[in-house]
Amino acid sequence: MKKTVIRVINRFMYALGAVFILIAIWQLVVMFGGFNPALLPPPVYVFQTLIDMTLTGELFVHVRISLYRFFVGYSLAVIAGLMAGLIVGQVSFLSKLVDPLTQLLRPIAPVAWMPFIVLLFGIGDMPAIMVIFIAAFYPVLLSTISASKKIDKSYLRVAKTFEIKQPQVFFKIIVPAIFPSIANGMHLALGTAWVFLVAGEMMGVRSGLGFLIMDARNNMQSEVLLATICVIALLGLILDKIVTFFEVRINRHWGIQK
Amino acid sequence: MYIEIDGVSKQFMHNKTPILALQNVNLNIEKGEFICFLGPSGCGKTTLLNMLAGYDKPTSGEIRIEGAVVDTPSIKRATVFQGYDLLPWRTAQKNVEIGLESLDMSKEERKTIADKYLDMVGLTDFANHFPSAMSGGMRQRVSIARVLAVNPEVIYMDEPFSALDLISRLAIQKSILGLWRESKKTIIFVTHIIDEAILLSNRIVIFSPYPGRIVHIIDVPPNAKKGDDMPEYIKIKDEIHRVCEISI
Repeated sequence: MKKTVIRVINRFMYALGAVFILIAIWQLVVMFGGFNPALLPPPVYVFQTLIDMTLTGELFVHVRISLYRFFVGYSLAVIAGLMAGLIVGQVSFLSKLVDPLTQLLRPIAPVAWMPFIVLLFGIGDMPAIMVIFIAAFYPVLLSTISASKKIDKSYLRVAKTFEIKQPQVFFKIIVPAIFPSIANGMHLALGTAWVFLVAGEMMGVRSGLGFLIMDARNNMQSEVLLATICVIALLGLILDKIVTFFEVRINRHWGIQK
Repeated sequence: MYIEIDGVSKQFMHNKTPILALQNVNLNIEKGEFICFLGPSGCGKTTLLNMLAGYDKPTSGEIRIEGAVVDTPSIKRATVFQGYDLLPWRTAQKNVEIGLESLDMSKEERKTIADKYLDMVGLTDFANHFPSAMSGGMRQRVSIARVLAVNPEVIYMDEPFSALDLISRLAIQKSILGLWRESKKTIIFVTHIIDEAILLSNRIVIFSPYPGRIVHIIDVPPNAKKGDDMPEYIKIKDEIHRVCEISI
């Protein structure tokens, strides 16, 4: 117990050190890079802007709407990806159909759909939600399919031995057996979807972190731009840590050591 | 005759070449017998067990239990496999209960039965542990309890103690033997350890490989089980060694 605490503190110190080095490089570039300070503001100034944005409450409005869009898109993607993946993974002719389809569609960047989505659904929350949905959908779908294909044969033999029939085999054996892979897919999807949050908010909306970035660019406020980037990074990190926390717990429960 | 193995052969394809795993095996087993299949690896003893349990079908010949051809696994003939096939997301108790869930039975009844067999394999204190928190031997004992819990008429065991250390092995051999004497269940047990075969079974069926076949069947008198210094014990062990030297 004491050892893990020390290890966590140790890791935290390294992370802090890395951030410190990054800020130091930034400061050095500002001092000796010869850039216009209006275009590349020093870290202190960006930090000051961040505090100002927090104090005025402006930041929270945008963070809240971004998180809302993110969670709606992400949750829908997880539900859809899971259900589709479970069905496709069980029926072999379906997986033969879906495999080339995903290979064809997956390389298309979710943002490429953006203009099309705007045409169909109009501007508002929908395009951002859809982009996040598309980004999160594939990792969940593919990890669910591949996990249900390579499910441990000995678990299925248990079902045979004790004459467990469908749908119990599905709920008692298959779903729990692939649960760790699903959790892993959800984790991957979270990271991917967060990357596309900003892109999804760059068109057709007047709120959210993506909008804040575009707005700052249009008004030449590089300090707001950089402050928003810091917020996006920090929120992404927090989300990732939360999911990792659950994933580690699930894996420990399932006897998977990493 | 309870179990009839009638001219059974089994052929596998390995890299497009046929391999004869079992050649014309004939054996009759009475109800309540404790049979050991003894032989080196590759002699087809596990193949025959899988066919007896219904996981696999003979290429030719037939296996009948009470006159009915075996073609699918049944909860009345449960198998303890080697290795670890516990469900890692269930506690020891819930693992023991999985077979009972297919039977018509209340939650309390299931728990009572699970408790009984966990106690028999000496794991009462570990009922709420997950497999990942148990040693290999403990997991194997849970999987034995899981099979015993459904009260099958025939129990197949495929080297179930291979993961156990010697001390746990001796303890669980004793409880299996006790269970067999009490319940008079038919047990078919695959092993490659001669002492284990003499200690447990009333008949030892010796297999030889390439192709897999039965080369000898030995009756084990009760006196042989009393210890490895008994004349009956020594006689059987000599006989097994002689058979194995000639045929393998």
